[in-house]
Amino acid sequence: MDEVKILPMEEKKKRSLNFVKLRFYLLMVITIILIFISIVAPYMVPNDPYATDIRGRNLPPSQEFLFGTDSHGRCVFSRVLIGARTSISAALMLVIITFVIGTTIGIVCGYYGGWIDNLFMRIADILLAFPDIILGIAVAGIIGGGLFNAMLALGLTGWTQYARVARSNVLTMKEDTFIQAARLSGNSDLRLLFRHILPNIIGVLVVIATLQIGTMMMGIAGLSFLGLGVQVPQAEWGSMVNSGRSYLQIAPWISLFPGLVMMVTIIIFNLFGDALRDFLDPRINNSS
Amino acid sequence: MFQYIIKRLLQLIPIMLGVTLLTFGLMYLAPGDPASMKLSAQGVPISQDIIEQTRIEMGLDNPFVLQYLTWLRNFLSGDMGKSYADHLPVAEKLMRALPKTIMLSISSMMVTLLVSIPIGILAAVKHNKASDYLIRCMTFIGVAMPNFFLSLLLIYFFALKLNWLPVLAEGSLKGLILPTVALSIAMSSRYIRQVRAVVLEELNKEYVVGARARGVKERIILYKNVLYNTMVTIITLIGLSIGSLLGGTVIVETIFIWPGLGKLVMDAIGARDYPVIQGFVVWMTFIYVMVNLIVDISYRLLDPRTYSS
Repeated sequence: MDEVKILPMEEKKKRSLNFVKLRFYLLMVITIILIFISIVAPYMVPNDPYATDIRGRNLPPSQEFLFGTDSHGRCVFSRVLIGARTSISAALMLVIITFVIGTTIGIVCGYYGGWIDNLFMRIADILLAFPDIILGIAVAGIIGGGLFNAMLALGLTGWTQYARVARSNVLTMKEDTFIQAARLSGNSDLRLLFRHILPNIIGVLVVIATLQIGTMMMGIAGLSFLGLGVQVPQAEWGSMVNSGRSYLQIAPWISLFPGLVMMVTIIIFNLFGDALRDFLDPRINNSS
Repeated sequence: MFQYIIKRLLQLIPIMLGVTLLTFGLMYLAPGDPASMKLSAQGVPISQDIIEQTRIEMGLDNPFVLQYLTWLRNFLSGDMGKSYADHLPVAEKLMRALPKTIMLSISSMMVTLLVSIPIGILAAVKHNKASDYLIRCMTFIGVAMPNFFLSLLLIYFFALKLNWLPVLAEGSLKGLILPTVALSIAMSSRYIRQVRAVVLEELNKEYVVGARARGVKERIILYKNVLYNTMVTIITLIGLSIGSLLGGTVIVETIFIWPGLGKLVMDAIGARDYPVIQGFVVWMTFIYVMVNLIVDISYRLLDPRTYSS
């Protein structure tokens, strides 16, 4: 029989805390490296990602073309690298913008209540009635494709999540003694909202935002895959997967590599989000 | 209960009004004028006279509110306009495609439930053992896998390499398998994680400890008590995931050429066939809110504690 080690409660707690910390820092470093790669991608590409070569079409992966070439003879590896910039920065930007707008609306609604609260929450209800990317498909489909429209389409519903969470948190916090004390000592509403309330609720919102990066990346890629997002010559993972669709039989690498890289990227962002959640709230252990 | 249902139905009215207003309004954000869109979709040579005439026919010279109300009145009476492309009534086109989408959604949901409940329970029972880690690892990959990429992988392996299944679904029952799998994997991954978390939580509760102490068999505890208590979570999950399921059908149907609503709307977008797009969006949204309503009602039936809140 195995020897059962019984750790004192204190030590056990400390151990799992250290693990949570370690995991968080490790994933933070990986995430930063990933974002860094996406920024310096243009200087790292081995081949011109836009140079077509009629004779070098659909070449399998080789020393020169790590991920092979696509149906226009373009280097898939270089395009995946360049595409990282579009895919990652678009998702990050979208998350940051919806986060700022949603949080601001949520705080203001929760704090002031009244008609302004009613108005925004009813708008949120309506936007949330559209299932998932259906509104995105409608918006991008009707006003036309393009990265900006795709982001707009996804952002239209994206802010509601932050707004709802921020609002409900502000509602419960509004009556706390420290807020009343701050109010009585003559702080302006603006200062109260952004100096006293925001820092207390920002943690949970940042966790939501981090976990949203992967979702948004998938959304943008999904729209691009459908031809409603990033347009063809520009490199983006979703549209690259789509462009390899008709060559699946003879040149599967055209779709395979951008898809795989995208999956790994989303896994990293999701892991980072989970690690951040555990890091900010050590009470939740990592089993859930 | 009856009162609750009525209340919820009444709440849906302003929401659906907002949805229709937004959907109708979108057309006015579209580049170009609906009249010339309609004409170019029909392949009519465009001249100023014809455009003016079509504008009047379509009521585009009326103020926006009046146009919206006319459109809404027609919509409610079942007339969703005619397709720009082939002049067929939009309602008829949607009706023809709807069963296919419902079929795909239901089969994906069934597969998801059949797969995720036992696996989720297994992972919880084998907490922190090898099989638990393996399952968690798989679910992490499943959640991060974009459905379009997964669909292509499935086509590559099962249709092109192994030749087991047709590449294109085209409405056949055999063709239903791959799109169903494509939709269920991501959904199952999410469900498994939740089921695992809930079962873990339940297993630590006092009633389970009590039952164990009384010598009740582990299997009976698991299947009779714990499973019943996870039902509430599963119903909540269904409500939460039906949105991404409906969204996912658009992508998956387009890839597998499954003749449902998603395929229909993508063709309509390609042809700038706005009435079809509008009809699709309003219908999908309606299905979504109705499913959520049903979910909320069954939630209350299952867990009487939520009555009071």
